[in-house]
Amino acid sequence: MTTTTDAPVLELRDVRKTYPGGVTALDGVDLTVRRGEVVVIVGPSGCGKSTLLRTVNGLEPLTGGAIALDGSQITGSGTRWETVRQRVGMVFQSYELFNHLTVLGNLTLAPVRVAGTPRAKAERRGLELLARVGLADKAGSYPRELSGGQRQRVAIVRALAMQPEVLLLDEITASLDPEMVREVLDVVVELADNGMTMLVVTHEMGFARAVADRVVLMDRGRVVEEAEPEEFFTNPRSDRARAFLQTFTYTRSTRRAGPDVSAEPAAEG
Amino acid sequence: MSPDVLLEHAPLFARAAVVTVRIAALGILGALTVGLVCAAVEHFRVPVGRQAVRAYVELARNTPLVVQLFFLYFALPKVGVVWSGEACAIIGLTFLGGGYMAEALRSGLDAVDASQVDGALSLGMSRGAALRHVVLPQGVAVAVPALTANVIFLVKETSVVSVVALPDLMYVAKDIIGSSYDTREALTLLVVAYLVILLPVALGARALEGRWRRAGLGS
Amino acid sequence: MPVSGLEVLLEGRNLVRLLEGLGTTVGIALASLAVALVCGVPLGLAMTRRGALVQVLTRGYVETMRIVPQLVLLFVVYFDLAREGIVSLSGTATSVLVLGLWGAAEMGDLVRGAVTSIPEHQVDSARALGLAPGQVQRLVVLPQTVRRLAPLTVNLTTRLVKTTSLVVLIGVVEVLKVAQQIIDANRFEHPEAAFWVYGLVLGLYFVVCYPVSVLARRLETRWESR
Repeated sequence: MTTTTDAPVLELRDVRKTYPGGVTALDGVDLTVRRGEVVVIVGPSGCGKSTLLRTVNGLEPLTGGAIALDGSQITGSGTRWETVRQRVGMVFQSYELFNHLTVLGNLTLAPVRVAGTPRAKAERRGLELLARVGLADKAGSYPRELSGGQRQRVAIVRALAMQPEVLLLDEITASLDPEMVREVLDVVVELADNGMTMLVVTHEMGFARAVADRVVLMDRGRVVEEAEPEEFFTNPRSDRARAFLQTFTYTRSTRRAGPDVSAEPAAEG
Repeated sequence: MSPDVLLEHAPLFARAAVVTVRIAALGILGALTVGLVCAAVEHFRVPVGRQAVRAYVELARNTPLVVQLFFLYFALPKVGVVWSGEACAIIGLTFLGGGYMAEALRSGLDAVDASQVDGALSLGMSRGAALRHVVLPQGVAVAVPALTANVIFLVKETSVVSVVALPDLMYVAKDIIGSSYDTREALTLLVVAYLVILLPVALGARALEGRWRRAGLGS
Repeated sequence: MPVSGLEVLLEGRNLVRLLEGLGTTVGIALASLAVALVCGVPLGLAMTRRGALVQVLTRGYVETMRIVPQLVLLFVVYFDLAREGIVSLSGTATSVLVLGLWGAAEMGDLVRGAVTSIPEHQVDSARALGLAPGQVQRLVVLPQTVRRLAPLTVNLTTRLVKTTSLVVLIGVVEVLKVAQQIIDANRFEHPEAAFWVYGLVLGLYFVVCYPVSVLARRLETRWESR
């Protein structure tokens, strides 16, 4: 992969999140992400991995623990999340492009309105970014005119337009048709090769293996295993990791015990 | 029907049309303002204010404008609140229309996914900026068809303001029918006058909807 | 509140007369609703047909009825057709006729919208299951159309009740007219009665319309969530 220095960019210490209803999503997570490092979090649905990502961006307030960015704590009452978020970009599963704006409008909104970049400069940078992901010709299109893969590539460069130090990717291929997954993942691999620090949540094990410097397995709001990708995928230490990886290999059981499908043909209403 | 009689009465209707348009325009402006404030209060679930807005919206939408105007013009003076006929008409339309506009705008705002705000916040925008640049434009785009329908509805509702002694189109028509018996001419001019006002509004509404559809939520 | 005149409401038959007036209003609204349903459903179904002539006629009717203010429609029929024209109609009959025909236009548009909103693939998948065309309509299209239509029709009812308030302006003695009469009769003794009487009329309309609006909303959310 790429050169990682020892300077930690993100440090999560005993991060906890319990919802008002009493459900605990994060049960004391410790995690460090160094500069230039790509950390991939995997785990079963509901294990808290997306929640964890959202806490780093202040979209989910903590109920315990602390997070530091470049050595200074960003959790606590005095945090100006607007400033933090300019340094920590995030890409979502459902893109969250602004549908009333063109592709270029999506890329320039925050640089112009938040960072105060002159419009002309923001547009020039936006076009460069679009060219980098092969979408220069879509600058004037509206999000609804794009395919899912194209939308997600726009969402990635929209986050990059703010020149963040860290990028959070939250299941960015989960809403995509299978044939579009690759075009998005290629962009992420290229970012990794260029030294972008990333914290990634994904269900794509092949991708995790290809892009990760370190794989983190979460279960029930805790980190249960942390390892280099080769080691994690070929020789997992914990039973939990083995069981988790087992769910990705499909073998046909001898006798199918599926649901009865010979019910009434005409359903009313 | 005689063209001479039509011509004779036409200037009266022209003057009355100005009254109708003025009342409608000011009432619609008021309704949009009240509606936007109420929609924001409901969308952001402002405590207490939210319940007050709910009660107001239900009252405005479940009572007819004629009765609201009677109350404003004939009943309120008994408790010391005296407004002119024109003020009553504008306040009445604002009261009625505010309820309808609030509903249209609220459902527009609610149609914008909360995750869009996440998207905006993740780029470093403040909540205010997210509302102004992301939620409002999309919410309003969704609400445009309902808003334009409300505008047409309110212009039509303006036809009852003669009950508070305003010399609008209905007032003039009734006056001519009562005094000169040029019934058919008066009614013709009445219909024509309303069409002259309403057709451009309806066509404009359609054009506006077409333009804003592009800015809608998309697929 | 330092307002006297509340007792006017309790004097003699005043309260009963107001309720009778409200009854007239609701009666006109319901009769109009009947006209609207009887004429509006076939109208709406006709609007889903492709023929150019049908389209021009039905759309023309619906658009005309919807753009002219209802009060203008009432005036035209009442002062022209009913007085000088071929037929002689009372204010009440005029009201039912006009509000019914206007309601039919609104209803027609609702029916058209409900029918065309049933996705094509619903019909396709019903056919794919082997249902006959009649069964497709009866078992798949009709139930869904009715579900979409029910809340909208209930909503149209409240609009009809509110619009019926206009008939006071063509001389029909309904709740607002009765209110006026009561206030006039007590003009000297209880000049402040207007506050209570009009306040009550406002309240009466609300009491009639609000539950119906709630019903419409319930129907909408109940059937939306399935």
